[in-house]
Amino acid sequence: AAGEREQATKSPPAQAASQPKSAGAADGDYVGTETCLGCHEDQNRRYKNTVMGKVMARPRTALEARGCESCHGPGRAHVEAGGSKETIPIRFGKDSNNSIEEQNATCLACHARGNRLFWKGSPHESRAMACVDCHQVKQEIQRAVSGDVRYSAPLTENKGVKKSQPELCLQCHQMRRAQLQRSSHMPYREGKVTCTSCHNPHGTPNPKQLIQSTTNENCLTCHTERRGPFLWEHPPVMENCANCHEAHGTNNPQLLKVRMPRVCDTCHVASRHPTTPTLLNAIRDFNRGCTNCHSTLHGSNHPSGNKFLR
Amino acid sequence: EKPAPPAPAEPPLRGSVEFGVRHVRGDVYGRPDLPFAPDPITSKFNEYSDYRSGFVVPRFSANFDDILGSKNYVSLQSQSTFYKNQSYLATFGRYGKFKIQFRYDETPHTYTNTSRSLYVQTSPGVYVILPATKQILQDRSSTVCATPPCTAAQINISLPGFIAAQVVPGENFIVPAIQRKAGTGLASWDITPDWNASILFSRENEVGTRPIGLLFNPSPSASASSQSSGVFNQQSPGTGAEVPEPIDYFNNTVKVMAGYGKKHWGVQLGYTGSFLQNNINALLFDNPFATADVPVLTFAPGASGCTGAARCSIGAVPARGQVDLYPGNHAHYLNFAGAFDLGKYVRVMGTVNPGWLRQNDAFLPYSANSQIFFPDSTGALTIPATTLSLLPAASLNGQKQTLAMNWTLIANPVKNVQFAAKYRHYDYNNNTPVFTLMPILGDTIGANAAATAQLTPGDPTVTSGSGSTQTTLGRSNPGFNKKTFEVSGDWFLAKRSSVKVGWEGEWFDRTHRDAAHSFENSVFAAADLSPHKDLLFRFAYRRSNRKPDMYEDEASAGLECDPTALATARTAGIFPTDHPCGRRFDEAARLLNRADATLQYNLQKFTFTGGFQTIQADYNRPGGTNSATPLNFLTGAAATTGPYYLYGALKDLSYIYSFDASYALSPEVSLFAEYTHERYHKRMISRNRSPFATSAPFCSAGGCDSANNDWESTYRDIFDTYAAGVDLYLGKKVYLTTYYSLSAGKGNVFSRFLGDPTRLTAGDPDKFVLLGTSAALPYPETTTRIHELVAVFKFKLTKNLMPKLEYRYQQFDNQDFQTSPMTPYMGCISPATGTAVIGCPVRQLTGSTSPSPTFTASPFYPGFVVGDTSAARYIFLGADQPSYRVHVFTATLEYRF
Repeated sequence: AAGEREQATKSPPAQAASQPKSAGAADGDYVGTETCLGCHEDQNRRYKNTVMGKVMARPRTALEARGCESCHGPGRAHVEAGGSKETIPIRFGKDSNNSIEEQNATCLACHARGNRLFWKGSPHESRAMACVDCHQVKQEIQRAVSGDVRYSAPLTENKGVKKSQPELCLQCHQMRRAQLQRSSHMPYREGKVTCTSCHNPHGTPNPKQLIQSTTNENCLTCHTERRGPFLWEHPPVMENCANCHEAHGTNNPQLLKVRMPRVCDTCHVASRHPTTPTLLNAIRDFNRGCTNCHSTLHGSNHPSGNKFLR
Repeated sequence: EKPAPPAPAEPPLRGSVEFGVRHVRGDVYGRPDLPFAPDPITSKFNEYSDYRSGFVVPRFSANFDDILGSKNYVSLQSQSTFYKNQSYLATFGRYGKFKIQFRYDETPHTYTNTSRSLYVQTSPGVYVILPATKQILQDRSSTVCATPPCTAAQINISLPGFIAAQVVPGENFIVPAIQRKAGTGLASWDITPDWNASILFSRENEVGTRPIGLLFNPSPSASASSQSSGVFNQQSPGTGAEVPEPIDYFNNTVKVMAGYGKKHWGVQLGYTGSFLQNNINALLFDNPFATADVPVLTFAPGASGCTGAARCSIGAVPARGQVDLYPGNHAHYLNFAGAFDLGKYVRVMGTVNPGWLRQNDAFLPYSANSQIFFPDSTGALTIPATTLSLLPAASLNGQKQTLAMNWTLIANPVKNVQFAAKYRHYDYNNNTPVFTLMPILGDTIGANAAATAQLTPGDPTVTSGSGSTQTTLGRSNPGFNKKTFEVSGDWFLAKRSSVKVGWEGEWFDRTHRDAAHSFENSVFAAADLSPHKDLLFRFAYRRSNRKPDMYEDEASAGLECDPTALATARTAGIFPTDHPCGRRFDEAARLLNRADATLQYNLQKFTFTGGFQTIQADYNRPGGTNSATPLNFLTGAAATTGPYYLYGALKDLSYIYSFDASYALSPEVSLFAEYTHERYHKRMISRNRSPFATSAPFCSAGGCDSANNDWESTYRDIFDTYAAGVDLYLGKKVYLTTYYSLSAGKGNVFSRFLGDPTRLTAGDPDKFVLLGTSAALPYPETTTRIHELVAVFKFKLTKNLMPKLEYRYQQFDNQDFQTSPMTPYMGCISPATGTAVIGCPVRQLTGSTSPSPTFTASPFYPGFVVGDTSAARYIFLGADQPSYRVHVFTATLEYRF
């Protein structure tokens, strides 16, 4: 019992400096879930049908066995006061008196592993975002009709978020919402690719919270044919797909940041045709632009492909 | 007090299924030139989806807990069942213990519905054209003109009308599209609450076709440029074709992960293997304009129109082209990650990810043309270029190693203060074997006016008629190493309020690129302020300064970017292949400013979010690796208003304003509105350059390299995105939601000359040459608008039944100067001035010697008809994504059980 108590009250690995507010509470401060349900059956009715509710129904650790109090802290003071929000040690949301750090520490007591390993120091953490800004615990996601018809979301088991993707992320990342509407886009609106296909909002050590180490490794997860190695490499392609492409959407073909031939002209200040500002009826201007001819510019494995023509 | 017993719980719903019927109708418009009506079902409307009329099951889900008395559950979900964008997700597991999951997903990608092609695929990767068609095209492209014997120039005029009128109508309709079908199996096991292991296997088949442009020679305009204008056109080497690239990939992915976490530390280990199997690794396609491989042809002076004292030649022509499609490859990555608390106030985190990339597909021969020969041991040209033994290796044995490492230290020395130090290292090593090759680009092998026969492949001493050197090439292995170090501090001054400041340095080392080493110095700051619980203001700013130590383009003949030195070199007849002041934007010196601001106001009934973002990259910086003085040709006010110190990208600016708001009029009615305005602006400078010989420099017949032929192009995109809608929820029975959205974008490419257009005297070292078809002119504006209007009505008939009616209207207005006029031939093309073209009613360009030529109107795209007379032997697919209007009516019944 002493060991269980220790497990239940010690801080989680990710939050050594910011322990849950319940840390240090004595056993006698806990009243048990049954007591909570005496007044909060409505919440329980919704909660017990969530994945978290089902996990907690068969607790694996002493902390989980605390039931409601594993997240909200010991309830004795609350019970003895006859209720009132102010007497709940841990509350969540913007009305809470607890700091963001305290609220998050409660969640991280169980959820510090997996893709939350790098939450500490991540952009969302350092911008004081709370887990409950995106996640909800006591009920599963309810698909809003309007959200449902504007964006298709990929099938997922994760129903503990407030909105489906990409709507959830677009609440703050507004410019991305506009980009997703562009004519040249990946299938975001159609629900085949979504924000977390590439990014981990809980933090990664990689740029832009990408799941993979670099932009290219991220893109090449799906576009594996462009990975190479090739006999003839195009160095800017090899270094960063985002040199030429805007992954979130553009109005140019192939998600190009700048339309051909200018996307190529910007670098190819050499001689002959890249430097001639040909009229729009020139073959390098219309249709596929430069790739009417240089179609293997992502890399060629042809012995005569040094100009990316074959 | 003893609490009251809980009320009996309602039995949970197991799931739901939505099924019904859908009707789709619409039209494609904006292409009156097409002799057929493209199908709206294959238009851009269905680029990644599959809206068709018929029975639909948009959604199904079912969850069964404690199945058969066990503690296990089963979850089933589907979306768009039976359609090309269908998805399925099945999960079996025990909450908190294990999970076995299977996912199946299909994604279509339709590229165009206006394509027609002469080609028929006879076997995977082999495209042929009917021999009779080829014969006709060969005749028309070599021997038929108004006044035979024909020159290339004559045929370039007569050929387009013939192809457009006689060949294109007989082409097959095709819809280039690919379909991705992916199955994924995942098993995850929480061995203990601290220990998880998982394994994932995914297999994806990507099959279909997509447009690809291909050449049979190094230039589609070779017919015009590689032979004397008077040579009668026996056979033209400058040919090309756009064909449907066959895709048949299998992507297999294996991921094995294990994570273990205790109170003060956690570790993760993993392996990811990705294997691409391309079942079609080469594309063999008929040359529409040649029935057989043709060797280099040479003509004695006076024969076949060959004028002058030197012999004339025409390059070799292949009967079929061969291109290497993406080779199969595999990649392996290991992942080690860990996070540890060092005492109470410090946490360290790290990752180490080594990767190995491999590719070893067999090489194709240098050329598919059996009439191009390599020298044997005696020097005689007897070995066909189709011989694989000519290659230095049978395959590449490509090998790359990557290493990504991240080390992070987070410290909380005092309450509400956090310091972070992050070090990141990324190494990209290319260890592929290096060997020497002798690429055969086609006609340059023989197009030498001084030659008596085919040139020798790989001989660096001979030069083709168009000036390019045939030489051996030692391939290089570009690679890079990037190190980033960042320190930052956060002060969480109040709830939802914090201030952040930091510094970051990035060291970038490259091999086989222009800037071998650069350093970028960045400072950044951010502030979040929440003076009230309903109000949040976020601000962030970052300033970065990137400086390469040196910028040395290996093709710039060792010259520095200094106007005085460049003038001296030009006088000496030195023409560097790349201009010494050319700067590639990803390596060049850059000053980058970025600022973001967001305001969020969130009351009970009203929420508002407004934001602004700007990113400003400035490459046009004097000194350092750029020129210290302006490179402008014109001086005085013309230069001082827009001085430039390099060639390439000068500016890259963006400004974005956005807001969204929602208001709940009552618990039953809520409104929302969104608006975003975006402006993107880029500016670049280039110089029209062509090589000159020492004996004939300075913008005479031999070539030109003068700042008087500098030109500027600015690129501007403007987007306005609107959305507004209403949600009604009446009496817990009736749901009505409707919205309208519009994404309106327009893009411009403005170009203009920067020199003195009056300098037209022959022999003038600064002669102005940006005239006629080489003029720097703006392109027509490109506009794209996507309108969407949706209304959904749902009525809760009973607790379990909910009928739904949905109407969706989508309109896509598209006017794109690059594709909107495209046909399988080049529309109705026309030469620069004057000459009548068979099959074309009007000429398009006026003023071949004007720096500002004008165009006559096109009936379906004002001011523009495509067509390049110097590339007359190129047959396209006519790929376009035209405008459409589509109405979708859906009636479904949702049953919950």
